[in-house]
Order: sequence, then C-alpha cells, then structure tokens
Amino acid sequence: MKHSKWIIVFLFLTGFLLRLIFIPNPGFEADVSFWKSWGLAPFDHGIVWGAHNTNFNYPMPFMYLLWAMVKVYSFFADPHNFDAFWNNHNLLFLTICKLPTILADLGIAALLVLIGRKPKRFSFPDLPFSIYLTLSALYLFSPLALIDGPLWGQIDALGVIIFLVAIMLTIKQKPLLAGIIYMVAMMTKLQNMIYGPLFFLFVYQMMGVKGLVKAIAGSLFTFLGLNAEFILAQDMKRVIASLTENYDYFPLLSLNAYNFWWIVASGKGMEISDKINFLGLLNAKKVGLFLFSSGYLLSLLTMAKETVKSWGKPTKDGAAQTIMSFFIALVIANASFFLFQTESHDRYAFPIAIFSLFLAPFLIHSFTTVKKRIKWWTTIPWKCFIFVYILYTCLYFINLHTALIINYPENGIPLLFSLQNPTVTITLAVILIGFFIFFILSLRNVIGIIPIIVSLLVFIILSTASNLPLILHKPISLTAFTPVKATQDYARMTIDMPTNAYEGYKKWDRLSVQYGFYKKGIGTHAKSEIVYDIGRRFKTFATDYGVDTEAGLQGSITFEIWGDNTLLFRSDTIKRFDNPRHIEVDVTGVKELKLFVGDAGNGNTDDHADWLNPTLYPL
Amino acid sequence: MDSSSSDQLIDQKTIITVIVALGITIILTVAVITTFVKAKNHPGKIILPGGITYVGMREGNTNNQVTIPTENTDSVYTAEASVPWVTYKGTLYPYSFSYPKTLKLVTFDNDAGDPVAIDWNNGDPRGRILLSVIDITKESGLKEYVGKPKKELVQNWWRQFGGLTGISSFTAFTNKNGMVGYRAKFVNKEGQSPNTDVFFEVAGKPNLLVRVANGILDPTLFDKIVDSVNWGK
Repeated sequence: MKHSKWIIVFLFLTGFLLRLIFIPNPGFEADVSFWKSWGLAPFDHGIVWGAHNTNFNYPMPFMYLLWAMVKVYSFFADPHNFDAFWNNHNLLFLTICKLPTILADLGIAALLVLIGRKPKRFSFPDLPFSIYLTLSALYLFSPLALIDGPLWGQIDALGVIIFLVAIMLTIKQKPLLAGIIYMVAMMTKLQNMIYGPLFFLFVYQMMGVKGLVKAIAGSLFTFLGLNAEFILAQDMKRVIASLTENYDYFPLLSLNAYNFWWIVASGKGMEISDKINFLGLLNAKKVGLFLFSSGYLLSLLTMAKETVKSWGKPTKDGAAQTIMSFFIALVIANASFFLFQTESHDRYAFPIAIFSLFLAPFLIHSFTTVKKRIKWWTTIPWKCFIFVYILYTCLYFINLHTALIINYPENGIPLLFSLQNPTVTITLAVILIGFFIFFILSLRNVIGIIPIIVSLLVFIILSTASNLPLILHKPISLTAFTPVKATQDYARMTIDMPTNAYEGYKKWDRLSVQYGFYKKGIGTHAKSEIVYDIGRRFKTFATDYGVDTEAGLQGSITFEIWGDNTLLFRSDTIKRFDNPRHIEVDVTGVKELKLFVGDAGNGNTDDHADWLNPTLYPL
Repeated sequence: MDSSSSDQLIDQKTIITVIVALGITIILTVAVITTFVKAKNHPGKIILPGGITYVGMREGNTNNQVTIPTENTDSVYTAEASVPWVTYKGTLYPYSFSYPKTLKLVTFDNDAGDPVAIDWNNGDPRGRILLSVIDITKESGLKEYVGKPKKELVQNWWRQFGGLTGISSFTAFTNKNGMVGYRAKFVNKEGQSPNTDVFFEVAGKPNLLVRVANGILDPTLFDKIVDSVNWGK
C-alpha cells in the first residue's frame, strides 16, 4: 500500500489527539474518585492495609495500578492536598488515570496493524494490508472506544489488550508466558475470568497437553506472585473475598445494560430485583444464569469441534480455523454474559467491539475468493461486516452514553439527551439481541447446527427440570426460592440453620424448636421481613414456626404471614419454651408472600425465630 | 492524458491529501489545547467516593492515621455581607439551596442520600454533612413512620442514636419557598443540645425528608440557608 507509513502515522496521531480532547471531562466521577481513594490508600499505607481500609472490590493486584497512578501523580503534585486532589476537574489525575487506557486503545489498533504487516506469522489470513489497517482505523475512531476510556475513565480496553497479548503468545506457541499474561489480564479486569475455560481450551488446541500444563502453571504462579503481599501477611481471605464478593452485589435485573432483562423490566432494570418470579419456579437470576450457561456452552462447543478434529495433537496446520473458532467463541461468550445475565453492567459488552475486529479477517477470508479480495471493499461479507460493526458500536455507544448521563448529565453530549426515554432504550436492547441472533445464524455453518440445537436443548432441559415439582403438582419448600427482599434487625437470614449460623461454620446447626428438629426451614431474627415472589402459582402455604432452641430465655416473638399486603395470619406471642406451632393459609392468587417476625413489643433480645418446613402447594 | 500530466494530477492529489491531513491534525491539536486550558480554569467541585473508604490525610496532618472527624467548637464559619451567594443543586434529587461562595462544599458520589458536606478546617467532611435526603422506606429504624405525620418522626429521631437521650426543642415552620419544616434540638448524653437539625417535608413525596444540620455554621447564616432550601424548582 502506497504511503502506508504516513497513513498509519496520521491515523494514530489523530486517534491519540481525539482521545486527549476527552481527558479533561470528569467522566464517570464515581469511578474516578474510587480510583483516587483506592490508589491513595496503598500509596500511604501499603496494599494490604489499603485492601482492608477501603471499599475496594476489584482483584487485589489492580490496586498496584491505582497505586502507580497516585505515585506518578505525587511526582507532580501532592495527593494530600485535599482540595486539589479530590476536585473532579483535577486535570493531572484525570490525565494519569486515563492515559493507560488511551495507550491500550492505541496498542489494540497497533496490534491489528502489526498482524496485517505479516499475517502468516500470527496464523492470520493472508489478506491485503489495507483490510487490517481499516480495521485498526475502525477501532481508533470508534465512538465506543472514545467514550469508555478517554471520556468515562474506565479501563476495559486495558483488560482486553492484556488478554489479546496472551492470545498472541498462544498463537506464537509460548504457553508459559501466555498463562502468565492471561492471569495478569484477569487480575486487571476480573471480567476476563469468564474467558478462562475458552482460553485454556484454545491453548490446548494450539499446543496440546504439554502446552496446557505450562499455561496453567504460569497462571497459577502468577496468581500467587501478584498476591504475594497478601500471602506474606497470611491474608489470602481478603484475596478470595475480592474475587467473590461482587456476586449478587447489585441484585437488580439490569445495571443500565440494554439487554434481555432491560426489556423485561420495561426500561427500569435498575429498579427491579432479579429475584422476581419469572419462569415457573425460577426467578429472573436463575433464568439469566441458565441462558448464559447455554450461550457459554455454545461457545465451548464451537471450539470443541476443532478439538474433536485434532484429538490428542496440536492443531498447527489448522491454526487459522482454530483461531477463528476461538474468536467466534469469545464473541458468543461475551454477548451471552452481557445480554442474558441479570445484574449485567452497561460496559460488559465492550470487548465484543474488539474481538470482532480480530475475527473479521477470518470471516472475510472464509467467505470471499482470492479474485474478489482484490477489491475487498466491494465484497458482500465486508459490506455486511462494516455495516453491522458500525451500527453495533454506535448503538452500544448510546447505551454507555445514557448510563453516563443518568448519573452525570453535565459530562455527556446534550444532543443525545433525548435518547434516554424507555422506548429508545428498549428498542436498542431488542436490536442488540437481534445482532446476536444474526451473528449466530449467519455463522451457523462455522458454529455448527448441532451445537446450536444442543445449547437450546440444555436451556430447555434445565428450565424444565427446575420446574418439575410445579409440572407434577408436588409441594415445594419455600427455601428453594430466593427472597426478593430480606431484612432483619440482627444477623442475617439463614437457610436450614438457626440464626447463630450466620457467624460461620463453627456455629452451624440444625433448626429446632424445643428440641424438635427440622431439616428444612428459615432461621431469622426479630424484627424480620422476608418477601418472596411466588407468582400466583400456589394455593396453600403451610409452615411450622417457633423460637429456636438456641435462643436465650427472653425470646418472645409474633409471626405474621402476608399475601400481597393483606394479613393472612398473625400468631399469639410465642416464647422460648413453647412447642412448635403449625399453620396453613390460602395463598391462591398471591404474588408477593411476606413472612414477618415481630418482637412482641418487648424488644428483640433472644428473638431467634424459625419458619419450619415452609411449604407451598401448587394450584 | 499523457504520463507527465497524470503525474502532475497525482502530485496535486497528494498535496491536497497532505494539506487536509495537516489541517485535521492542527484542528485536533488546537482542540486539545483549548479543552486543557479551559479545564485548568474550571473551578470544579470536590467529589468524594461513596461509602466508607480512604480519603487520605488532610494537608498539615502528618501523622499516619486516617483523619477522624472532630468538631472544633471554637471555630464557626461565617461570611462577610459582601460575599456573593450561589445556588447548589442536588445531583440525584431536585433540591437546591443558597450558600456563601466562600463556604466550601463537598459532594459524595454513589450515595443514595445525595448528601452535601462542608469542607472546613482540615476536618473530614464526612463528619460535616450539611444536607441530605432521607428515604424513610429505606431506613430500618424509620420504617414505622411510613404514613405517619413527619412531626412524629422528627420528635422521635433521636431514638435511633445511642448517643442521644431526648429532644430539648421542637418548632414547626414554613420557609420562604413554602417548604414545611421542623426545627429540633436533641439532647446528648452530657445533657447538652449543641446542634440544630432541620427536617423538611417534600410535597408529593411522603417518604422523603430533607435534613439540614447546622454543624459549624454561624446561626444567622444557617437560618438563611434553611430559608433558601427548595425542591424541584
């Protein structure tokens, strides 16, 4: 390509300058202020102290990056100058915290250029360099890439580029390094965890069992190395917590992600619990997990075909096919994660915009002839890709932009404010799901019809199996449901165990009232309110109740059962030495079943309450 | 067209392309410089992360401890009559109030109560909340007041706190903007009532209350702020 060097310089320079323009925008101010807090704490007191004295909820090694930001900041200004440091227009900090992502953006674009120069070296299709350069430009000027890092202040692109490096190292047959870098990617952005099984399957496909073992070893040692400070401080509990505490952190249908649940919530995904009854006995969260699992299975099966073909030996000859399947699998897994899980964040679909650029050369190569590739820009596959890609990035940009201006209207683009209304956002969600279906259907020959059918069947089987009691009209324990809401004035609700079990496994015990023991039930403490969405599917609710044997002598409680805000039952005052009582109430037509425990008007000392064998009988 | 004229055409095209490229680069460079200069002069506002997290040591505080909010009873903030008053508007809720420009306010991000605090005398602003919005359906200690007169809630507000023992004064009033409020002083364990708390009802939102606390503010100035509190306008 004539003058290509100058074109590259121009593209990267303008891409860089365009990003610099957005740096002074305070972006998503909550994220930036958390970066400051979580960077300042290790800067002042070290990472272990910082992890315990902040509300940091990312993987622990990410704190080193934030520490580095504050460290760099301290070369130019004092991070303890309160007014300057915490100012939302702190230009120095905004520059330092946004620069890594901007460089990552340039790195992703550069990687495409690098591959395009010598595609065969990376087992990529031998296509004209101009295709790779165009893909690089698409990313450099994508509105999505501009809003996520340079404007918002997030680090998604940084997480993706590190993961891409791990992929390239796998392609270059360097399993140990690939494993190491993959773990760095995961510790930078926990979302990379979802690609783990796909990545290690890819490593196996490229390098066989030996390569897989090396990659896993590299990952494990890197995990330990990156968390070494916590190991030395004998504090791995905090590391584990950082990897698990985000589960159910925001128990809502959709966190401004325009996906399936955004449609279900009629555009109010941030206001509706994901524990609402949705499909038979299943709440929205479980249905979301089943849908995601089916999507993930599809991604695994897409790749597994390659493994079956080359069983037991590395796929060097068919590397291009393997890499293509891997990138398709990444798009499917990422899209399933964003579109079908509840509690999905607005930014979760960001990596798709990058993975699809790396997938594009394979698709163009597969669906065009050598002759047609001379004028590649006129081919149907290219036109189709470019149309869908630009539309996708623009529409998903609106998703991110709306999520930003809901919180920080002054940091967004006023012209786009009208796009916040639910009709627009729900339409966007429908289109994004449409893209996913289009992607699957248009690549059905590559993915395979059988994997698609198997994935759909798995969802149907999982949903049906979970609803068997309802289908067979069998009684169902209320403990199988997850409450929409559960509050109590002391400790927290426990399932099949009394209140004290909340303290940890040493206090685990069976539920009992006056030494009558029960396998099933709910342990709670006055005053407590536990609400279930039972979806108008039952006729009777039966339960025993009483004060748990573990309670002190002052335990005295009243039990109430409410159906859609109507009192169905209120007990007498039950005391510590009373035997369990039994009640059955009619719940026909009831959607919201509430179990309330009162303190009988004398305070809640020793009020350890048990709902025992709480059972629902289907209509 | 002969080869020399075709070369000339190519050269012309190249020159135009280079000029356009340079033009775009220059425009972007100017835009970068302009946004940075503009941002440097932007006063901005102090944004602290929501929840309990680290905000560092204040300037001049050299020990290695996290600054704990302390109340310096000797220091009271006041403003000269010449100081202009400006309006502060809530981020999540449509409340607003006026305050002297020299009073430094701090906004908390990610906080459901949309609070605003006073940055004063190197103390931790988290201990000096000036105004916040309370949703009584979301506070376990206040749920029993849902649907009841707000007067009753304010008179029993102190019961949520172990450090308070009762209420020493209570007045209902309406401010200049027509907002119905209750002014209360609560008694601490030492038998003193050093603080004034004002609670405003929100018309059409029976589950919301706007709480304004005097903290280190001069009483007259505090009254003026209370009088300026408004909702939704």
